[in-house]
Amino acid sequence: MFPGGPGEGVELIVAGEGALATEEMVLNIGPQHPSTHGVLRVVITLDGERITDAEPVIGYMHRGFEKLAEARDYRQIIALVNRHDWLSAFGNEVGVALIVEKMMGLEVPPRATWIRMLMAEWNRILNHLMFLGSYGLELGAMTPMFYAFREREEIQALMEAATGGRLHFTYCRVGGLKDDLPKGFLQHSQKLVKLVRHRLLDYAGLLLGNEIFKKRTIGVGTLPGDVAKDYGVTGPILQASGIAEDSRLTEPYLFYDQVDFEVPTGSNGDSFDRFHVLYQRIEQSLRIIEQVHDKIPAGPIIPAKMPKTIKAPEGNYYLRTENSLGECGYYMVSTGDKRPWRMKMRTPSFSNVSMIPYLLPGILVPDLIAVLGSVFFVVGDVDR
Amino acid sequence: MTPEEIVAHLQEVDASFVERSDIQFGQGSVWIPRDKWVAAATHLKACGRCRFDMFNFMSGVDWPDDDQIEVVAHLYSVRRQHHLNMKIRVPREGGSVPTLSGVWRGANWQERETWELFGVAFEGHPHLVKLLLPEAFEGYPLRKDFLLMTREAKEWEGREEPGPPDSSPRPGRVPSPAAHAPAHGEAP
Repeated sequence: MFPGGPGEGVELIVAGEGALATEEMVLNIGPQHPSTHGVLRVVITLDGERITDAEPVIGYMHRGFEKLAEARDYRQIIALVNRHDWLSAFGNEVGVALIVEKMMGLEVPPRATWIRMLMAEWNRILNHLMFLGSYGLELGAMTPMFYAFREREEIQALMEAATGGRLHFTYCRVGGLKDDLPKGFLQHSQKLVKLVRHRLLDYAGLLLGNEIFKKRTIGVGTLPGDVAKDYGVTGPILQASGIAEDSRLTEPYLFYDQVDFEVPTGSNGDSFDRFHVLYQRIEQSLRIIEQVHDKIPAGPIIPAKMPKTIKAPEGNYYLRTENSLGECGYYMVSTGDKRPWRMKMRTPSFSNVSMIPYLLPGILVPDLIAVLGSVFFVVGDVDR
Repeated sequence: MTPEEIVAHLQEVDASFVERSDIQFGQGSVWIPRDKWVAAATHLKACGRCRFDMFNFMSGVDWPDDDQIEVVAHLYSVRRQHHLNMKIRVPREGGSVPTLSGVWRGANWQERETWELFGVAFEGHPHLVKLLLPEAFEGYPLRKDFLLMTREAKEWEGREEPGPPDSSPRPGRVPSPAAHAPAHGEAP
């Protein structure tokens, strides 16, 4: 069968002295991969098991929101921006309402502002619970996901009672809100705060104190604070890198200056810190909600004197809000018309994902998902 | 620092940094000449008083009447907690801006996005390829003369077009009235 003896005709490649010669390999992660929560592709270059280069390929969900906004008036834009970060729809819409009110100089009734804060914080918890659950799933722990959806269901039911929506709320209006809270809402909300606070301990027990979880996340994917700022990274990821930047605290909007809360920070900026900061942010949100319950006044939810047409005066303004995943801001350029001349969406996930080429090189393939999952992002928020 | 102080400080450092400045709704903007764009950015980041350590976003605004595109970079200082809009105006055709990706790492993606959506080139950018749009996409979608695809296929009554009102071409596959209406006196 073989001419000659075994091994004859086979060229023997002898590696150079010292290390074994290796060859680089290019590997595609995604666009369909569970850890990307949508369609994000990462092209990684491997040397053995070690990643040497990573390039995220985005745009699979680009829907041209900024162009669409130019063809819609301000009321319609509120419904539109619900959809870029679909896990924190209320946080998005409150930003647009605030910037138009700021440009028009509209006075919002205090009750509406307090309700906005209440909803924004519940929405933040809704978003964070999703990532608390899914991050466990990515590391092989099934249970946290079920727990997260158990709590999410309760919160969604609460928000549905007031807004009518479970995902896209469209509850804000320029000047105030669509409806007042239904009867019994605050009592239910109070009960839910206690419930969620109690059940949060489940996650702490399952993940934060879990030896396997710690081994897989501590020291993995470390992001220094300076680099994070350079990339424009915000939200829990920046806070995990030790920088207590949160526009609720540094430049309070709504009534965040009238409530007590802290900005949790991490010390190492690794995957574990990012997850831990997310967990602590839920506790802080619950703290804010409790204070809102006590402070919410009676009164109207829409100004008595609303202009017939909503037209932002000429000029440009950038307003940022601390959304669930980081700084969500809108840069509005108006020519005095009833629709914006230009609306730039500064979304947190876009800047956060742009940091991936820094974060991934040097780590091992088995850690890839642990790191990618800890850069909490929503693909709709990246691509817009 | 307040926006006024930042502008005054920039003028003090180098009078040629500030072409024009303006404060709207309490937010400062400076227009920086093209040849000073990178130098001014480097100063804004390194200077202890400004310390703009966060590159927030970059984008463009199309002004077809002036035949110009305005590139806006929004800076924020985590340390000092102040904002600044860095602006520059370039011609719509063949306009280019020196890249800031050597100053802030975050500028890399933001400039790629601005380039593909507005058609403003960034000189010296290390990797200027399409980011959000497919490779083969033609045109610059956020310019005012680029119509929304749905509107081009079907006109919408009571429409609010993003462009100037008379610039919209006839919807696709609809011939002009001269082509399909019978001339006066002819049998249809």
